[in-house]
Amino acid sequence: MDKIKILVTDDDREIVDSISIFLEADGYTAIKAYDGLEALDKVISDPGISLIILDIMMPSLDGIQTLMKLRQEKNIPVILLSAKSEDADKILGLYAGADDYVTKPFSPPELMARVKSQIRRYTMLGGATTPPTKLCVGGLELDTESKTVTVDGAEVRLTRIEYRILELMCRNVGKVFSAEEIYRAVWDNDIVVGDNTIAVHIRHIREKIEINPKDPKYLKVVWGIGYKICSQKG
Amino acid sequence: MKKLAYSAISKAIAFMLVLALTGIAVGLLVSVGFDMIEYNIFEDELYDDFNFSQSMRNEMTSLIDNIDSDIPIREPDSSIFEYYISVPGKNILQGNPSLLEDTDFSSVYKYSIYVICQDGKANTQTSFNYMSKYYPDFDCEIFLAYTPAYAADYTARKLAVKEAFEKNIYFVLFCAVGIIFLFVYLLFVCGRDCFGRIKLLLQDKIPPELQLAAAAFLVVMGGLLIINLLYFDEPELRGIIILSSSICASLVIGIVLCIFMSFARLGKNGTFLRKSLIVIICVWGYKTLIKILKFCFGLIGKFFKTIIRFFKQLGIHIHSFFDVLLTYRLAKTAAAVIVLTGGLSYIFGFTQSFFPFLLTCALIALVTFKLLKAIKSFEVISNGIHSIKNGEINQKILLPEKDYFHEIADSVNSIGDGIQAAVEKSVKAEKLKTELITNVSHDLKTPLTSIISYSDLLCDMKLSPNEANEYAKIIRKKGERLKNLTQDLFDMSKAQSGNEQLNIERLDLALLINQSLGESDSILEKSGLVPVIDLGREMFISGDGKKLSRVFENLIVNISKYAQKSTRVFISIKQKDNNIYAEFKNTSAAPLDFDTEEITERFVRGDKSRSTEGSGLGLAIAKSYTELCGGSFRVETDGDLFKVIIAFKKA
Repeated sequence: MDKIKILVTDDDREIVDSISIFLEADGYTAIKAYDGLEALDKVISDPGISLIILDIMMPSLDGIQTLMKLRQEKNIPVILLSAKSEDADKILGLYAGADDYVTKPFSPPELMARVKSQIRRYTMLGGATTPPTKLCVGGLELDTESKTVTVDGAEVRLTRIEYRILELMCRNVGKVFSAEEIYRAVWDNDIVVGDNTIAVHIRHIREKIEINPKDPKYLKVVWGIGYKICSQKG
Repeated sequence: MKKLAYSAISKAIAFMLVLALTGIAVGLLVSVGFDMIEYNIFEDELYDDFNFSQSMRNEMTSLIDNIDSDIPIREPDSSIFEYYISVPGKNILQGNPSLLEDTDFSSVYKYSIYVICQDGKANTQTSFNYMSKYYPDFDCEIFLAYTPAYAADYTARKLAVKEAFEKNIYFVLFCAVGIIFLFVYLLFVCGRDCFGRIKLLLQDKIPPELQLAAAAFLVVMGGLLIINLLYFDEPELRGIIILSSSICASLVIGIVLCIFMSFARLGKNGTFLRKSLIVIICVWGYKTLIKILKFCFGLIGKFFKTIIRFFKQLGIHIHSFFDVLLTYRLAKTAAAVIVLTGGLSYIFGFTQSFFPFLLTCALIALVTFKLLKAIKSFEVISNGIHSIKNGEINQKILLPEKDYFHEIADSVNSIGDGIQAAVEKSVKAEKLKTELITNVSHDLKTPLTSIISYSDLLCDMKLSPNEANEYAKIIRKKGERLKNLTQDLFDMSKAQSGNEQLNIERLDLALLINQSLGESDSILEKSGLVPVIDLGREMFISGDGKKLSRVFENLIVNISKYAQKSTRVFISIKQKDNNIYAEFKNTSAAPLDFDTEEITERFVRGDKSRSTEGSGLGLAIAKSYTELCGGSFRVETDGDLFKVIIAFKKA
């Protein structure tokens, strides 16, 4: 089987090199580009590229512009890299068509985990239809019959309580649940006053399903109000 | 049933019924009313001893009146009356003298008047005996009677009318009862629909007094119209009169009913008094009176204030006048004036001449004028200094160049300019610093990415010599720390430059701290601390949840770093008055020998040696974020007790 090709684009050569080393160590083929135009050329000339890692701040054509041009032609996953860590920047990138967003300086294992998850989704789950017993939120899938959870195709082991909390929230994507509501639904009980049990469970679930629990993609804390499951973007 | 009673249709039917019944009753009353007036059915007979029927009385009067005139006496209608009049003194003898021949004539002519006057005296006790006083010189004899046939016919007709009236009056009474019942019903149900809701009509906006006046007017006018119509008795017009008076009556009753219903609606709505013109006028009058009184008192107060101010100003001016008088330059002028006036007075003789006195006065006036002008400039300068003191450093003191105090004003102006330049410079410097920090932290991130990546790669390799593996680990660890420092620095500069975008929401502070504890409980556990938590429930404040979570995360991390191992830490929320206080208390491992104000400054750390991990920005960021969200952040120490108190307004 051919190795999966990944295009790495950044104007800083050392960063491109280091990412390439990590990618190759994980069994991918890295293709390097140093600005937006070059990246576009390589993607169009090589249809075998399955993922693009794209820096935002680059000369000639920046990452966002490159991404928008690319999206007119191709639908391959794109992970944006940026030194900008503001929420507004992330939202802009995701709305421009990115599949994920990693801020510099990143930890290499985290970047590799994100690459892996995108590749899995792109190659394995591409056209699969979802059976009715499955709850899907982006790459997160709950099988309500076998009570199993997979993230981007990889199974995750949850305790019974954790599973019930996650199922409750996946059935109401976007709804903000207060700690009381979760307690009542999952334990069939009124809340014990001033307890952080729920908060701890939520953190445990997050550690299992999120690549970076500090910057969660699915299960988000709405501070001072409750918790919610986010659909992929925004 | 209730629905039916309140439905619009039954209301309309009741209303129409009232109108119809009124029409019918009035029609009936009017139709018998003509006859009732004509036959005067409430009197039993055609006449009694002294009160004759109207027609007979008229006839008799005309007979008596004609005695004295030269025109021949008009004969009464022979189909109704039979008469006989004899006045021997005037040669009058008319009518049928044989009437009295029958000895029993009084039983034949039951309804008759018989007057005999002799020697100025009347024989009868009738009301016509006055004629003996009119005509004392004439003896006379007058007899007037209804013909027996007419009397019988009249009595019969009167009886028929009476019967008709008695028959109708029961029907009219029935109608009246019906009208009253429906009236009460309508008053009861009006204004409410079948769901019991109160509904007002356009009519209810008219003040009740106006409606009442309209009702009274209509009733009086309608009554007068009907009564007048009754006396307008023409047999061929009777039908029209009956019809028009019944329509008129039902219209009047209809309008009166409408008005009463409006009152009922207003009463049910509880707005009767509010709509009432009298109440409105009274309230308006009361308010206006109060306003006028206030205005008057205000005027009086103003007057007194002005007087007081005037005297005060006068006092100040006199005071400043002497002050200024003492200043050197003005003293010189004044001295010159005094010497001059003294000299002039001496030359011209003090009392003998009027001219020097006038001149002296003019000079004194001139000096006073000059002095007052000087005081004014003085005030301008004083105001200018005052505004600079209050921070309005753009304010310039404007004095004409000729002014005594122009130089002082100029100096004050240049001081203001200096201050302004300094402030602008410092603002600019602060802005530059913020920009620099932002740019630097951005630029730091790119090389840092490479450092972290390559040190990571090194750590995965087997290096020789063996120590190199340890060095690589140190580089990676410090790279990580540099990354956190950069991020903190960036957040800090952003918060303090005021560029932060906030998303203020109503939050439960208790829940928020619980969430923060849940997120970082492993940190506390790892450091072997025992948290004692008392948060209560539903402590609502307004703030940015993300920023506040950072505040509590920093505090928890801070505690885990600096608290004495295996001691208790206290985290609690209290509500007092309108404020919510969150308290974080721990026993410090190191002695607390820093200034509590300074500790929240940028880069200040509890340990001067900076040997422990941390950017020194934790508390500074926490404080900045708390203040951005409108709260206050205070650090207190007592021996080894380290206490952070965060206060928010209750939302």
